[in-house]
Amino acid sequence: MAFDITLGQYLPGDSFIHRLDPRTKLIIAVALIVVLFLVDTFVGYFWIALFLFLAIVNGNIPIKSVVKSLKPLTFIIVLTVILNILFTDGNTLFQLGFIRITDQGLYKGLMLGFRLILLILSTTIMTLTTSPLAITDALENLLGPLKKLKFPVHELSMMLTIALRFIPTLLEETDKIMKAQMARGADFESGNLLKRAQNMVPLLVPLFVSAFRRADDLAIAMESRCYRGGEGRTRLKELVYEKVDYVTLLVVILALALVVYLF
Amino acid sequence: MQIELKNISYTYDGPIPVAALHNINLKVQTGEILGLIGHTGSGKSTLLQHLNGLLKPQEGDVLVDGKSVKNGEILLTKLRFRVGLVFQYPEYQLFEETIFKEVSFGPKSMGLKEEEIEKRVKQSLLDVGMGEEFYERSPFELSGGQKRRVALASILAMEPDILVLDEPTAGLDPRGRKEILDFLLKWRTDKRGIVLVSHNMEEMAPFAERIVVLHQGSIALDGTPEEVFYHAKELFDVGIKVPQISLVVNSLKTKGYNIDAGIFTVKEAAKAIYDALKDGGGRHGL
Repeated sequence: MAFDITLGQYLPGDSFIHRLDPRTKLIIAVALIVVLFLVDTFVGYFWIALFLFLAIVNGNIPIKSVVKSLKPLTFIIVLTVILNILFTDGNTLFQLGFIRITDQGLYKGLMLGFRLILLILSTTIMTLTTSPLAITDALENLLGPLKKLKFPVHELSMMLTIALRFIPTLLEETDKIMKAQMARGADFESGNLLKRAQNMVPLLVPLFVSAFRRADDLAIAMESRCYRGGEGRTRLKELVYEKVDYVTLLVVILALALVVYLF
Repeated sequence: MQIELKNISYTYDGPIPVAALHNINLKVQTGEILGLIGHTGSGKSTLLQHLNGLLKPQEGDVLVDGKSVKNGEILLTKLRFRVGLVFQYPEYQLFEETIFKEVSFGPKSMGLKEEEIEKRVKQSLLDVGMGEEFYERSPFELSGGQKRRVALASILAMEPDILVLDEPTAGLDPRGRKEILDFLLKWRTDKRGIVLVSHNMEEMAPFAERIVVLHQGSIALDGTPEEVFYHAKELFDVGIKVPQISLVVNSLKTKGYNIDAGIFTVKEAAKAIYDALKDGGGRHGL
């Protein structure tokens, strides 16, 4: 396969974290994100990092997967850190020509770097231990109250589910069409930007045609099974909130509140 | 032209590596119709992609007229023009505004002259039975069978020495199947070869001169149809669709009748059964 994109990066398992209700995990992840923006001391970040580390250990998540999730954003993290170190005013620590590093800059740069890394880790741990379907279920459930405001919650989560479901299919299709066109002499690798964009036409047209065809087929399949939106729809797997979920949620939220209060 | 696969093994990387081919040795040459048969997942498609250099050999080597693909002695882009690969459901690769443009895509990427392209496009469309009235039509308004013929023409226009087809008749009605197979028989000459992939022996048997059976990434059988059908029972057991009549002949053979087990047409079988019964001494059961 010519592609290695881990969008649905779920690693099945049976740890405490894996078994938690997806809603608990979703709420905790959102809470973590909020807390990360409220806290701005290294000690505070240390406690959050420790919490995430414990989650990684508990979830039996390979370090390789964690590193892999950070990789695509390396550039942005490094850029943020460098820009902040270079362009923040404060007491000069070191100067070379026009490059001036200040204590404030160093502090702010590293702080933002840590913040970004922890932000990514918080969401990664959730997506690594929760199947995409469970996440969309949780989202639909949590956004439920918005239905009263005529917000199309069910439709939104159905769209998400379908999109997630078709990512691997479309990747496979892309690979197939690419090979078929290469067998006809298509060249996807050389030439300047404009030429390359032109060369993509033999790939993109069939890909779109087949995506529309699939969408059409899926719509017919859903309708012939009497799908007519979320109204009155029941589920095979109801989300059940158990005692352990309440306790976990309570403990984590209290701990996070403490972190915000203290640091 | 001759393509030789030497000790080819191939494994797909991934969280769970999948071994697709294991130590394949196979010669393909012009002038021959080779049938490649195997169950889903037997490695057929992987093998095909080695023939025209879409996959580079991981282990072993591909020799094209003695030149090694692994050592880069032959340009892969050149090889792709000489070995025309028609994928399964090739109609999904169509993308141009008109059928004429669609078919000229291959020759154009070969860098041919305008007149030569035109000549080839016209010839190959004619070969698949599509006249001038189709040239300016969109390939997307055609029927399924017509689309497939346009896709086939788009490979033929490159005038390959060897044509490799992956299940070219899949999803077609009996008439469409016959049209494609008849065309292939006509197309083949001493200077052109065909490799045809199928999981259906019934269709392949009267057509191929040599049959190779792939099973779990290895070559299980390699020989003339007669030789291969001698093992009809084993083929059936590994999930390959064999002609009903071969199974009948095979079980007669195991029951002790004096009959040639390599038969795969009803006509021959009728004659052989008649002869066998005559020899059997007075048993006139038919």
